[in-house]
Amino acid sequence: MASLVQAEGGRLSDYPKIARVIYNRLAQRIPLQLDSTVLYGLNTYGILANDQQLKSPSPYNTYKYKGLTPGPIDNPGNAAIQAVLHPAAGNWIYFVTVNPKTGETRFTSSQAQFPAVPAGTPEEPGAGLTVPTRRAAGPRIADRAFDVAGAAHGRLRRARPRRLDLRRDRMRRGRAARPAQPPATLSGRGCRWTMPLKRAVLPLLDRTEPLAVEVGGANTVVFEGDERHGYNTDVPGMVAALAAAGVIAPSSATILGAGATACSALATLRETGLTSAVVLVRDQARAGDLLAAAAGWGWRWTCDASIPGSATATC
Amino acid sequence: MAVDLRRFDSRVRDGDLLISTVPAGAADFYAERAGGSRPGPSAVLDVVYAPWPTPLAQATAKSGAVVVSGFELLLYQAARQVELMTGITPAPLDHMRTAGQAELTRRATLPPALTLPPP
Repeated sequence: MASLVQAEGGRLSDYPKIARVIYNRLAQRIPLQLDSTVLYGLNTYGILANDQQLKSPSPYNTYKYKGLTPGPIDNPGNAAIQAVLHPAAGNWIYFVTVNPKTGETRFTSSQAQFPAVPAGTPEEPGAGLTVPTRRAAGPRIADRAFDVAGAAHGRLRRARPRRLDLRRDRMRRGRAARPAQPPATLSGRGCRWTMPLKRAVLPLLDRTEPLAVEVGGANTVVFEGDERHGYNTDVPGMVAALAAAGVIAPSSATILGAGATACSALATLRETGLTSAVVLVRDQARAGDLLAAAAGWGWRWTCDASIPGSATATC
Repeated sequence: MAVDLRRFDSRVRDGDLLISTVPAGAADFYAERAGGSRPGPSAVLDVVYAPWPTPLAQATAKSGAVVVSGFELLLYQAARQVELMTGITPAPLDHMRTAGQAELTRRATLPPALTLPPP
């Protein structure tokens, strides 16, 4: 979910509200309708998804499928993660940028509450009626809307920022007649993290399995009621992948690298019963976490004083 | 129990199991080594999954090692995630493998680089 907040962007102070819009849509079983997810599913970038893209069969198409995407669509920063963990309070299910220059974004609970149409703007007939749940217009989407439609185009065009020559036609066809949504098969039971987030998430967890603490990262967080439980599946994954290939009890081992994955590799060797390992490193300054993990298991370690960076470590 | 930290280019004898945790390309020098006359590892896990096979995987497989790809690691750790998140045990590994391989194939056929639209 944090990746969605990140991808929708806008001002940092709006992140908790964007998170709330997503929570509210999930709770009310309203499709998220975020163009960012549609474009991600098509492995492309952009601001607006076109009609054809909105119909794409990708499981990341949140117009087509209710619920969260099967995986993250962006690499969330701390602000986006915090926003999801501590969303703002509100009943909003739409957001729209009212001032693209400042990024000022309004959050509303109904389409009708979108910012007032500038004085003197002719309303399009039937406009407000057929649009409702069409989209949760993200700030960038709305920025684009202003670019495309110009400030004189009122509420409909802010809500549905598309090429103007197509709009009337689309209105007549009517979105309301679309077939029923498929059942929601994608839901939010947890999330996955890669480095450095699997380390950053540790202090935010209610319960963390010992292995995740030892290797310094929880790559999996599962929501249990109100609690967040952290797990590490890298190590069992590595043990299982090796076992599936018949590698169960190696007599000795060499690890290339000393980063986070090497920590998992060392923990894997420990699971196989090994009592020593040679670790080849490029820069010992990067081996701190590995050595901390080893020290945590009571392992001794020795090192070659000629390793670059060893002067900065306790070698 | 002990960890022996050595230089990356150290001439230390290979272990029975070699696990490469470095990014694609960073272990290529080791592949050249593995092709030498010294006895190589009997098993190799290279955490890289694309492009596959890596030079390390090719060289060590040629000298008889059992080679496990990063894709297998990705698959088995994901299986555990599916189990944790859904309670379904065991995870549908065959379906996951098929889906994962299809995705890798799809990515392999994509243009080499995606370009961002101008701001």
